[in-house]
Amino acid sequence: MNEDRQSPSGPHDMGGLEGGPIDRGEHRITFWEWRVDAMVRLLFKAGVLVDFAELRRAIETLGPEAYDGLGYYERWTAAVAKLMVEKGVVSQAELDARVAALKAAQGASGGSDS
Amino acid sequence: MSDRHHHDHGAGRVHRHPRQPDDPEPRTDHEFLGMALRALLIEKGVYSAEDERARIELLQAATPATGARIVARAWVDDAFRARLLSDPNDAIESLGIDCLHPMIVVENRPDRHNVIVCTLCSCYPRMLLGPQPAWYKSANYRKRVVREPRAVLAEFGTAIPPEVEIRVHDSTAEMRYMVLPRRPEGTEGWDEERLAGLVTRDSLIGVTNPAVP
Repeated sequence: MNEDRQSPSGPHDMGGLEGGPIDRGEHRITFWEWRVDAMVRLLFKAGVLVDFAELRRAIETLGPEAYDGLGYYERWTAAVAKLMVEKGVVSQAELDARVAALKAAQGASGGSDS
Repeated sequence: MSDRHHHDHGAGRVHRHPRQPDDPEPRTDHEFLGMALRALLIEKGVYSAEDERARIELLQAATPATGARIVARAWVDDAFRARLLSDPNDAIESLGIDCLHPMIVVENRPDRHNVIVCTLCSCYPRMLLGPQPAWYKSANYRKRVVREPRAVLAEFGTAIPPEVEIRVHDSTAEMRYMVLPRRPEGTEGWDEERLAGLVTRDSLIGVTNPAVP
């Protein structure tokens, strides 16, 4: 462990840095998180994603704000969406339109749209 | 929504999958993005809703009880224990368990305690231990356990005497670790099932030790 390391290769490269207390609270995985988890594994199985290294690289290049500011499965989601657009599996326009439609549908059904 | 469907389970039995009360609608932008992406991938036939259901079921079936079963076998069977340490995938598969990834099993000894981490992300032997606890994925655990493992273990209530060496094992996507804890004293004559009941998720990560209640 190099204790003098000043410039880690990215926000993910944090082993050995100073840190605070560990929150040991348990987190129940929500249904949307299970769906994202399944999505990643099914994309590997379909050969659309190559391997975890590809996903991890995409997560690491989301930028420090996304890395620190997003939840674990939110980072996965952002990275997979980016890769799917890059690979031409979906277009950014399709994604944007579907997000807008889901938000509108939830608003119409009295959901917690803010 | 497709998760509020009725469907046929083969023998003419139709049942409803209820929404769980703590299964909220998407709220954050990224939750919406995830569900939009999911819907598009299913529509485009990259995978099906049935594939998703089956995969979630498989993911949810993985629990630390699998790791506990492996440990209990190693505690009662020296030949298995030796094989588990020298050729872990082969030993684990001999119990009918598929680890999916290359494994290394590290054995706690009187003079050496082991703990696992993935400093770069969250690699973990999920098929043997179930989903990672949130703290395993947290920045503070990843930063500190390689720097001050003794202090981190103390926060988990685990006091490691100064004369005992602590080895921290940093996992990767290609190589995952599981700790083989020491069999607690006072368990002589216990059968495997009873022994397995002592082995917790956290003891397989190495932040705690199994103990007789």
